[in-house]
Amino acid sequence: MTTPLLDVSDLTVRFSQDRGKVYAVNGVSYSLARGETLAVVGESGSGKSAHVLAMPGLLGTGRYTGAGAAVEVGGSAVFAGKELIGMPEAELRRLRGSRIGFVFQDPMSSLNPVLTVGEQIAEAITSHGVSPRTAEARALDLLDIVGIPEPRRRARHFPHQFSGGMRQRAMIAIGIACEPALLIADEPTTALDVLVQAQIIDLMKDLRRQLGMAMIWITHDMGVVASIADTVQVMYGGRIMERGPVRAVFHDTRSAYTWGLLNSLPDAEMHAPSLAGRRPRLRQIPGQPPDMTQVPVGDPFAPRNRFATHRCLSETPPLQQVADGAPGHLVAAWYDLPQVLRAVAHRDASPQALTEMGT
Amino acid sequence: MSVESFPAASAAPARANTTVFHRFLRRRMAAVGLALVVLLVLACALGPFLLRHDPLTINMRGRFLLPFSDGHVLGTDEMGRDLLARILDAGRYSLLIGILAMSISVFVGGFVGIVAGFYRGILGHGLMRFVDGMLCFPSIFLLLTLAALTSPGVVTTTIIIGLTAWMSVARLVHSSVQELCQREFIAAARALGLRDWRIMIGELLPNVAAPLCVAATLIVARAILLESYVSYLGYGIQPPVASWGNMLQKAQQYFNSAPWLAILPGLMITIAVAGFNAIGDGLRDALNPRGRPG
Amino acid sequence: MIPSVQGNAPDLLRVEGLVRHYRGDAGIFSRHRHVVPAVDDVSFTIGRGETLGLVGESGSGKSTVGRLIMRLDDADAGRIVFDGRDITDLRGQGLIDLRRRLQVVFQDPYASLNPRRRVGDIVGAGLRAHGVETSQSGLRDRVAGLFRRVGLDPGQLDRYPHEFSGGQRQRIGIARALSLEPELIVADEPITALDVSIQAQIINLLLDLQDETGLSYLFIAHDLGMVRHISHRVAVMRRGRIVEYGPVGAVFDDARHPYTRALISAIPIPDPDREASRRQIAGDDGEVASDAKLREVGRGHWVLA
Repeated sequence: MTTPLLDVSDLTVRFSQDRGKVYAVNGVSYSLARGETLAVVGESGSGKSAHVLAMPGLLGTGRYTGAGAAVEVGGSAVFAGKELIGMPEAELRRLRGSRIGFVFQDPMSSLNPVLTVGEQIAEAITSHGVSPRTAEARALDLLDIVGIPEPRRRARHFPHQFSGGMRQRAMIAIGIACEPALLIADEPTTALDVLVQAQIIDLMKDLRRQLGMAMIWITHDMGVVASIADTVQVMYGGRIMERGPVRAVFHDTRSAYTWGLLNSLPDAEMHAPSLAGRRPRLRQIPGQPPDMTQVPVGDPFAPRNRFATHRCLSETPPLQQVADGAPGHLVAAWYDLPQVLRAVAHRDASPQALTEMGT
Repeated sequence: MSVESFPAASAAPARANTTVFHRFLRRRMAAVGLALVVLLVLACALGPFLLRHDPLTINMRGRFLLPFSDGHVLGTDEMGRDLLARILDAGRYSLLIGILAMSISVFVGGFVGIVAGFYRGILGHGLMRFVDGMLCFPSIFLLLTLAALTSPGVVTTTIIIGLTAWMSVARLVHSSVQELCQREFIAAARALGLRDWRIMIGELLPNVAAPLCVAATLIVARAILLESYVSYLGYGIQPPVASWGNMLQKAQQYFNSAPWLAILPGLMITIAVAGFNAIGDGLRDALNPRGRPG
Repeated sequence: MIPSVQGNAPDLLRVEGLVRHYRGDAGIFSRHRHVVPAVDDVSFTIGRGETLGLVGESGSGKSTVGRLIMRLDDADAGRIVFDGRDITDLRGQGLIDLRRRLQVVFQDPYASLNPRRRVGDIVGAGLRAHGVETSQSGLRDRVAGLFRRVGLDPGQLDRYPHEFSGGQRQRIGIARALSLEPELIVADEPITALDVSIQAQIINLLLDLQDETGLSYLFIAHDLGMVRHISHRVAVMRRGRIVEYGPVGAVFDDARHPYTRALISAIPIPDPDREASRRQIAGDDGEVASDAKLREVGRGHWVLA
């Protein structure tokens, strides 16, 4: 067994601000192999971005927190044999952009508006000790690799002269400029249109193959997860709810939250609605996202989960291997979802009952 | 998922201990400024009732008395009037003029700013060009010109100061209203069929209240300063009624022999201006919870 | 020629040849400003109790269509007919009266609620402005009723928007739109800014309200899955023009325009097996020919060609 590229254990993130503490990440542990693509899924406040960005020291820069909020990061994250938590900022900075690359959601605010795209890519390379001449040539190569036509001409353009999709390609070029071992992509396609999103996903798949890099892809879109991930990690309330090979998680779902997410999506095979008659409703998850300023107790999803037991409300379930599941398929739940679903299906044979899940 | 600001998404209810007032008091300078201003206002409002000396009683046998002599805590002036009584009485006028002039500028500036920001077209542009034009005159010249053309007095001084200070308020309100009008809740109000005046008063005004408060405190400070300039130059409050400005002016001829006559009113102006400025800065931070903490 | 599938039933809304141009941002010293057509010759109808889905990518002009219908923006050409009456140039009191029948739900539940007003006042503002309810207690009762209808706790009337989550805020926005009992609601990307676990709640709420009151929706979105779920008919917009228009089944299962096909094929499917076998059709980058016209290819199914 080879050592993992990234080994995270019991990572916690707290924000302290005027309004009190925000318990953003509450004990997250996992490891990422070289070349593996991990999709981290969750909604806003789930801790999906916070926990990933905390490791390379990118929290507390005002991007995810209000200015002035203090960030406390606890636990451990070992990247290629080096502990990231508590690493001096100068050392972290060397690591970012060389061994760890980034692609963010909004390329417009991540790119400097007064520098040309070519300059910005070259800068990413020269800051890690490459001569300007080599860097310039490499920048043109990179623009070509990420599929920007006429690299020589486009390198002289400014970010505002690029379309949204082109800007994201330029961001990817910067992210992979030093051939990092790990690329962290934080909702890289969320701001893009569906056609452009499809192109960017294809591009990232190609790059992953060519460069052999590992990838952490943060998203809220189950469709994107299905198209890109080897491993998926579902987060809610600052915890990992379920984690495993993508097929296992989608087809043998063990967490009520994952199950709720997958089933609340409209089914493409659903019949076309007619004006007359009641149209089918989506299977909604009731309730609201958790208040992250409260000290976390129990299973964070329990208040919205109709399968929750008393134990779920008071005791936090550990993330454990699913007994009869695929290897590496982990779930944090006190209940056995397949058994619960069978029982429910048996009790009220109509699928309608599941529509009002939890109400 | 475009709105993914982290702590906001958890929709934590605002706690009692994070009210604007609490955030305000947490800034030390602001709390000190507020204490100074409250003290000053109380002293000026109540002091004359508590003191034995009348600010206008002349005593030619007791001129230029040093502080702490003969029952005069701060001494007497060139006509033997009690300096403490005069300073507190002058403070009534100076503070009153400051606050009234501020009210005029906030009202006029707020009105012009909201109207000009809401009606983009000819009306809005016209109003703002007028504001720009007014701003082109150095305000002190404008002030002196107006003061020279009118008969000096408390009312005219107040109005004149108010009318030279509203333009900055108008600009501030105008730019924030323009920004607010891009927000969807204004479109929602229009879509509900709300009349323009309802949108301006009910939707826009509460949103510019915070910057207006900040501007208001800063304008009080400025108005007190302007009043003292004008009075110092002899156009403002006329003796025997005292204001900090005209006390300074009278005192300058005796500066070598009785420096406290000039220093004490000057100190009062400094305290009042610094106090109101500190309140303004504190308010600005407190009303903007995402701003820097103290 | 205005495509319609409603047969003889009178349409609630009828849009004919709508055009809106925006001047390009060329600076005040530039002599020639290039004109960008945001909406170019758009026509469609919405029947009573019907939902028309309007899909397209950002910049396709779909939101501008919504603003034009809401009369928050003025069209350069074309007609908007609401319940048999031309509202294209309506002003003053006539426009204010129209607002009672035509309402809007916005995309961003953070920007669309006034942060400085209590949510009860936000929802009651229309009732008060139109004099529907003048007494304070009557207004409160009605607003409480609206809160219950959209699934909110009427005990929270006196709170401020920031005390609610995104999904709850969108419910407040819906309550505000419902307050005047409109016949048509323009829903401009109402779920885009919401969390995935909340989107289904809002879609179900919109469906429930439609079943209860028979109101119509113009549902503007870029999420084709949701549009397919909620709409009776769909119009696909691209660069200011409708390229395909018709019943949901026809447009999704028998797409004729290459752009529609590319769009449908690009949606990631939340299933790793089906996703692996999904065949993506390249999007066409061709310009829309200016003389292209909508032609009927099936019953009520129109394609730009």
